Amino acid sequence: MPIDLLMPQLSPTMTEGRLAKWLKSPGDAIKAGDVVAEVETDKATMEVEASEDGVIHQFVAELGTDLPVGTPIAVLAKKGETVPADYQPKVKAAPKAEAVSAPAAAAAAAPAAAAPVAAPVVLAAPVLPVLNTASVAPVAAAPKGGRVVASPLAKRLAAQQGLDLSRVVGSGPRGRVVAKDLQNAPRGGSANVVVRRPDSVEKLTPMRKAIAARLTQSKQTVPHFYLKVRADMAAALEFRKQLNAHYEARSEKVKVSVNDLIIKASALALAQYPAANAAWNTDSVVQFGNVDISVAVSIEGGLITPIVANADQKSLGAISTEMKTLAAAARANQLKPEQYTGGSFSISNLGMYGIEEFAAIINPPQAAILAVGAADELERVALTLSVDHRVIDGALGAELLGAIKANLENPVGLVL
Amino acid sequence: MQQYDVVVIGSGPGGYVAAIRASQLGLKVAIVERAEMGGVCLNWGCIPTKALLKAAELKRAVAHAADFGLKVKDEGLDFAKIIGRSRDVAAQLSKGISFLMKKNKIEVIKGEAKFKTDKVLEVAGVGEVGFGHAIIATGARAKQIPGVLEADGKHIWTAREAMVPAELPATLLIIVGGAIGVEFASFYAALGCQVTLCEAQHRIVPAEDEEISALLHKALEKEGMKILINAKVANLKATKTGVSADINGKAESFDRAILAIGVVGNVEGLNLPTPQMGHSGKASGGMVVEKGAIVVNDYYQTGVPHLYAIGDVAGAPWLAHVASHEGVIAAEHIAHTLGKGAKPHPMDYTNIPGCTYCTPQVASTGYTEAAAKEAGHKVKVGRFNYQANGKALAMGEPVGLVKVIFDEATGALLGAHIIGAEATEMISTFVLGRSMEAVEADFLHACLPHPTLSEMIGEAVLNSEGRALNA
Repeated sequence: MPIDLLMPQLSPTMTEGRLAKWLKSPGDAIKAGDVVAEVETDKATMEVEASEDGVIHQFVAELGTDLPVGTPIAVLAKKGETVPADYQPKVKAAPKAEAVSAPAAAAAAAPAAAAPVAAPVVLAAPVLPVLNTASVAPVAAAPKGGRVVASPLAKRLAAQQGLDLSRVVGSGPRGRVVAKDLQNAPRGGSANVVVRRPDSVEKLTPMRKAIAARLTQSKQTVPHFYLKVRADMAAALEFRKQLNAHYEARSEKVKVSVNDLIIKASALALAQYPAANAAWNTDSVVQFGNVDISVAVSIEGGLITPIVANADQKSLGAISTEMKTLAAAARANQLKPEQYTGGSFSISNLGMYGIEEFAAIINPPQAAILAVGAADELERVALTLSVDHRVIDGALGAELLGAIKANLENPVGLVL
Repeated sequence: MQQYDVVVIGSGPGGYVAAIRASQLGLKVAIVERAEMGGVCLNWGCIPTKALLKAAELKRAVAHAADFGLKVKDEGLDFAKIIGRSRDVAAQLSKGISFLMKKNKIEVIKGEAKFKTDKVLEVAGVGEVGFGHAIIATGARAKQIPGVLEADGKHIWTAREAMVPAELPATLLIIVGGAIGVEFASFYAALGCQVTLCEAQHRIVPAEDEEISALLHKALEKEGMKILINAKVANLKATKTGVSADINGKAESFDRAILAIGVVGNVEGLNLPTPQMGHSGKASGGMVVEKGAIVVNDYYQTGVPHLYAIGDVAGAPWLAHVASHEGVIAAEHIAHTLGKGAKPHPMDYTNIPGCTYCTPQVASTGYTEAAAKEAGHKVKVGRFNYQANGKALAMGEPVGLVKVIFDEATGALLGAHIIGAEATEMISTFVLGRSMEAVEADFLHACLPHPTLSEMIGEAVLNSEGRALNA
């Protein structure tokens, strides 16, 4: 029997994956464990390994398509085996993905009951009634299948001038775009050219779907409230300078960032107020044993929150080094599921973009997220804590944020 | 009174093609012709002169037969037979047009037409013909300047007399050196006539690329022709036995002279509904005639929108293939206004091939190098000489040049110019290339057949990129 290679479930929340790249070709002999393809999931780009030895008979899925877990993507022939021409690979029912990945610590405690809160519908149908993708009549050259009918010269001119040929109404035979159709394009005036800048429709990536689903659910179902303080960073900045000078003098390749200080300050505050290091779990509140800080990292196409586990127990140097490694892996789409799944508290820092202050959306099932702005001229930083009122009341939230502020303003505590 | 959807006046390459296209589109069509079916092109232009030039070509071939190892005795020529064959070819084609009219169910009305109103034609000897739309395709005739350059039809010819003389003149003056003049010069020179070609401008075939002009000048002189550029011809007169003229102030005499100074549209006698005539053309002030040509729009509508004019009578370029193309567009536009078929695309006048069938042949399309630069293009020029082409050498035709002009920035083919054997056949590839807006890469990607003259197309393009393989 030939072996069906299926779309694997690569993370607990994964329901489908987008086939991103083949790393083997039909006819290639492979061994169990060889990486056959790359798949984009809601979290990262991951590798699909062959489960058995064999020869790739054929690919049965197309690159770029979103396939439910369990869908056949390739057929392997065993050594010396001939695959019948009418062989049909079979779809295997996918194991049910967890609606929301519960933190590991909570898993045992949480009852198996299905979440009573219905998962919110995220853009089930397109909501923009009119998209500027088709030109007003006459119809632009953008055809079925995406091929633009244009003369060689028109194609070259469009490439040179950065024009989108699919937006241009062709006046040549059978609507072919010819050079003169482009002549006045950017400067307007030609009746043949739709001067409006085009809207582009981009299919949701698995990551974008995950962000949309989780944050919509969070903002719609989690009762947020917001607390804001300004922390005087003068001492912390001075402390950071001394610390980095210290590392440099010892030729250690560590450079602690302001963000690293905030991670440590938050982790210590959470350790001090463990009731705030918690999660809502429908019929219970889970207080985490560990302080695991999720740090939002912007990556191409979205963001991801790698975790600095046990941050309250780690030195600033260790946090700094770990954070650098995690951020690099995140940007390279190489985070392992255990590096971004779980976490008890999140930090989102837009200070490097000069944002004065902002309020972040809670990353469920966590109960709080800290939004960090840029230092002002007095070296003060706005800290905004978004809090899940079901888990943390105002007083506890205020104590937590006050502790973070105090930790930053008295940085010596960060090295104790 | 017979009533038609479309009446075409004139059965030349513009008129008869327009009539066929209109008929194909389901319209009831009549064509009015006062003389031979086929017009000047078939009867007094393109075709009979090509028949004459073939005789000239064979004469040259016989003269070079020994180069190929053939022993051929040249016993001179039967001039009447040469002319006779040319007439036979014309007559055969003219008959072919009558057949085409019948096949396409087009009523042929013989006689001279004039407008009675903008909806009725009066055809001499036939009567009144009613129409919804009319296409004026009456062509043109040789231009003359009364009292200065005037033909008498006996010693001073226009093209029409020049293609049917009773005997071969010993000396011949040709005015001027455009396509028609050069073709007659080439024909008569080959048959042994002493030809003097006078061109008013600073070079012959002034519409062609300068480099091509210079090469043709040299080739024609080598054949024994006398060429005068910047020539002023005055006092052209028929004498008792021949002609006399002052060329650049010097009195000279010849057996015969040919006037080839251009053509002028046949607009007279049609009683065109011009503004002055007060016809019922309500939609406009009437038809406008400028410099012997009827003024038309992109679809060949005159100032009276249901009256169209195509071909030579609608002005330059005076070429049969242009007239045919215009005829198709006019017919399709009429059909479109009647709800039949799509609106046609206007014609691109920057991509009209010009062919001159002298030896060596000259053919071109698009911009000359100078015109391209004048239009603001930075150009890349490629050249390939016939001398380096295997087929040309095998044919014994080592003289010639293929020249291509590309826009440096975009790679657009701006123009192509060929002089040499079969230039007029080879140019079509470039015409198609320009029509499709090919860039240099398209030519380079095409695998052209070997051994052919056409290989020079690819080589010339390669040369424009600085990477010719065989030169």
